[in-house]
Amino acid sequence: MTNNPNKKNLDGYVTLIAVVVLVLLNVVLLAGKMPTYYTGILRFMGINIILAVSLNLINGITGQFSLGHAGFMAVGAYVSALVSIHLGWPLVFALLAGAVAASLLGILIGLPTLRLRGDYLAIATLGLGEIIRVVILNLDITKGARGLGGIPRTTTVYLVELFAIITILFTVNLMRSTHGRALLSIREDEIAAEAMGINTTFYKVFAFSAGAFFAGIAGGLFAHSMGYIAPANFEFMRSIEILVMVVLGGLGSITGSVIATVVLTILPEALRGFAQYRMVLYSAMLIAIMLFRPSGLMGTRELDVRQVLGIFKTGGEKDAS
Amino acid sequence: MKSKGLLVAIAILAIAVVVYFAFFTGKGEEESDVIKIGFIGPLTGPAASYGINARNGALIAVEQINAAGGVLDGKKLQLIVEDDKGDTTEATNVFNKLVEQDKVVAIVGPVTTGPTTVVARLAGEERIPIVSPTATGDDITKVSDFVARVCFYDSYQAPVMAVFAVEKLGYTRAAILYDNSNDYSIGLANAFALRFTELGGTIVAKEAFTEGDQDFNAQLTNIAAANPEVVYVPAYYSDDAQILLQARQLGMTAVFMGGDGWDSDELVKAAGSAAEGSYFTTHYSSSDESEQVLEFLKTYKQKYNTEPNFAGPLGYDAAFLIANAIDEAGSTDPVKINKAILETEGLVGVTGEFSFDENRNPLKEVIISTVKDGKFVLVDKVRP
Amino acid sequence: MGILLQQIVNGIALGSIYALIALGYTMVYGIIRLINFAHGEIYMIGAFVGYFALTAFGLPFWVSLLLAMVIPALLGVLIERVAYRPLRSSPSITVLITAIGVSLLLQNLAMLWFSPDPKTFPQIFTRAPFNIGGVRITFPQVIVLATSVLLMIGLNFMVQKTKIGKAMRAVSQDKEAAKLMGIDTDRIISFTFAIGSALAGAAGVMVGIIYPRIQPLMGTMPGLKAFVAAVFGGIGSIPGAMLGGVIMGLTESLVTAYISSTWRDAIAFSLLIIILLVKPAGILGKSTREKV
Repeated sequence: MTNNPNKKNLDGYVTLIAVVVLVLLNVVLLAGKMPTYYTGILRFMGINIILAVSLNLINGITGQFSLGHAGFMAVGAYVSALVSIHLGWPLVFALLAGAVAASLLGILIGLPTLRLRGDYLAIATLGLGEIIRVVILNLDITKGARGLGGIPRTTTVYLVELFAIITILFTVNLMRSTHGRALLSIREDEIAAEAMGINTTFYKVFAFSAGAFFAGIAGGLFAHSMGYIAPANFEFMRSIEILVMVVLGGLGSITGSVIATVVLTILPEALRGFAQYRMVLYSAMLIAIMLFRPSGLMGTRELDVRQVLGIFKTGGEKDAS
Repeated sequence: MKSKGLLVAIAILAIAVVVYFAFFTGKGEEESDVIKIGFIGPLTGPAASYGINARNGALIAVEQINAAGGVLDGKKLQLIVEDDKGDTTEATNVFNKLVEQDKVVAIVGPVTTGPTTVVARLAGEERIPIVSPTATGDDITKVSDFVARVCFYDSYQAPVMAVFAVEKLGYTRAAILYDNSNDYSIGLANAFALRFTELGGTIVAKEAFTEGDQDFNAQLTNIAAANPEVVYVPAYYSDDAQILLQARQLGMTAVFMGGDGWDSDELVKAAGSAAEGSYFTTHYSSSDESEQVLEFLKTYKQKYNTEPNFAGPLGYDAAFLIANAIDEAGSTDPVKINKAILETEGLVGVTGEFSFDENRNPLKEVIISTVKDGKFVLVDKVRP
Repeated sequence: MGILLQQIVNGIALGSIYALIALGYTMVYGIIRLINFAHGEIYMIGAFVGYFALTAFGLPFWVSLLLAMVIPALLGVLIERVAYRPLRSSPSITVLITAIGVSLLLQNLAMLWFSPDPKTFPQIFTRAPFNIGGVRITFPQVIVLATSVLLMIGLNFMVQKTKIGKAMRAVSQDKEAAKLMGIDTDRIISFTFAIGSALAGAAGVMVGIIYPRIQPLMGTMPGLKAFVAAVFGGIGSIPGAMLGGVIMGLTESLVTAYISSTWRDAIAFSLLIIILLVKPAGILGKSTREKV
């Protein structure tokens, strides 16, 4: 990505794909044909997309290895749920409150910890995620292990879609801006970036807090989708699940994250028929994919509509019209 | 150019997903010789042990009912089992699937609290009755009108033990050791403490541990220092066995007590003599020798080659209760089945005789058992 | 005072198990810079091998312990061959995800094979405690401590004094240079996995002795904590892993005793972060300046 040979490819096409798929989906949704089972899965898929893309901003684009994403999601979920329950805030404001809280925490925690690098940073963020979970487990207002219920179930598929699009657009536009190039330069070579006069601390904290912001949104959407949250929803394995989506899609590739999220959200459902063997197959497939495509499904590339159309063109002229 | 193949594959995948969602929505509807009931519980993940036991119990119930002629004059029951991994998201998906695609009339489950809380709400909206075998939180059945359970709720069995400790055994100094990451354990601990102090006793120490802990020496050392007469440990049998062993190693002689999470032969196998003289509240006692209990234990052992833990009989009773309600309602209409569940009166299952209070909690006898010579022995039967 | 000493004894026994697991993490990390997430599951497999050797086959303890080290060692080598070696030149995060996949696979296979019900490890040694100055020490605790110390001394001897140990150190310092010196790096890496996994297997049996409960998910938390212990002591450093493990065990024991067990993990992790900030390479790790 340093020389960014694909920069042109990025232009607009990511958005275009998103729009085409969404329009198709919405036609189906509006026709009222889609059963709750599928809209439910779509809702969780959308929330996962927000999580994966926002973690990609930290891990893939800025190159800061974070294992604490579930912690930020938890903060967003609990703060938004609490302001909904106790203050009666409307959903969008509650979501923003959760996101801002998560983001502030990201800055607060990010400033000292981002001095660490690589695996050490990963461990520190893992620790932070666990600390957040333990705090939630022990506070009275969060009701500890018994879980917080009675959250208004106001999240809709459309709202999740909207925030997923906002997250994707924000990240794509950021990548194409001066700031985005600064982030990429940190990933490629932090010392060189610093030598070039880039304020690496600022940009790292910025990426961290922006990622946390969207994770907070996702948490809020999750809480208002479930109506009930418990610390068990935000365990260390949740962070790992999100990381798997990012790496499977290809670090730094936004479309990759989206595709991997779609695949990984549907996969466990598609494997339902195998009952107890389901998770064995799931993990075996995960290993196989990583072995066959070590840099993720998409590498650092983006899925490009023009390329896809190009293939159809060579395959047969009629498809292109 | 190699990447083009992949791109095509992904594009086709994306389109396939959309088309699949749009048009193949499980319309296949067969004739109704078979009545479907669902099962939701963890078959994978950390709570799998309870989920699998409850499922096995429910399968035995369905098999026996079918062998005895089914329900509604000869219709067969079919149990559709779905795994929720103990996760609320999966439980939601599975509930929707069971209701929409499988068209179940009632559901056994979920097994753990989180999923039960979430599914209880959905059940109220979709008007499908659910009967949880094992979710004990006091508030769960208040979530909607379509959720019942066959297990004790927290402030049902714990006070029984407190009363027994104070009035029968004459203890006044109790300590509590509970699992702070488990709502069942927290619920019982609080309910016990409340009743025990109401009766004039003192809680001299309250220590907590976290799921998966192996070492309880630190907590037990603190508890031993407070010198209690009795230690209430509302946790699951595998933790209890560890706690008992380590407590005896530390030289503690206090009497240990617990709830229905203790009820498993594994407890005695694991703790050996350390368990002697302990008391716990539970649903049935194998020394009680009721026909149904013995029959169930025998079948379970034959079929699955292992002893059930407490979730097994509860899974059986949940399915049994639903089957009975279908017959009572004389219909497969979920709303009528739900009504029949609430009106259940004196139904004898493996875990006792059932009727329900206004919050759809079972009113049944609490059995107090003790461990004597490596066996569970009935001490008392209490109807709170 | 008596209570404090008691808690210290408890903490050291717990810590020696963390130390055994942490050694495997640190050796593997030292040599191929991989956080081997499947390591906790190797430890779980070790516990089950020990369990079946003792119960189903009725083998004597030392033979069972040996088996519980050999089988995980072979498994460790197999995992490295199949899942990690093909990715040797890939970014470390890719291998990390594969390791997570392996970890999930082993967990779920164990659930299928051994059933998720917890199993009770047979009692081999008397559990009757003996008193030393008001502190109760149990025979299993002594066995665990002795075995752990012996294994660690053996490991240290091997790494410091033998030819293969020298080769291991060489590969971990500079893989390319080691290759140029005629060291078969692939073989050394396999060997490292074997040793690390054997130690984890031994830790599994040790856990079975002190806390006789084993189940398929038992590896996750101790695995995570042992890894934290390895980072604590300075990842890549063998004495560091031992020290980190014992500190971890002591911290847990003392926090549980004097603060609250419910805050234990939070405090352990806070301590970790503080140590990382003050001494980023861990207590005994060498801090390396990045070359420009």
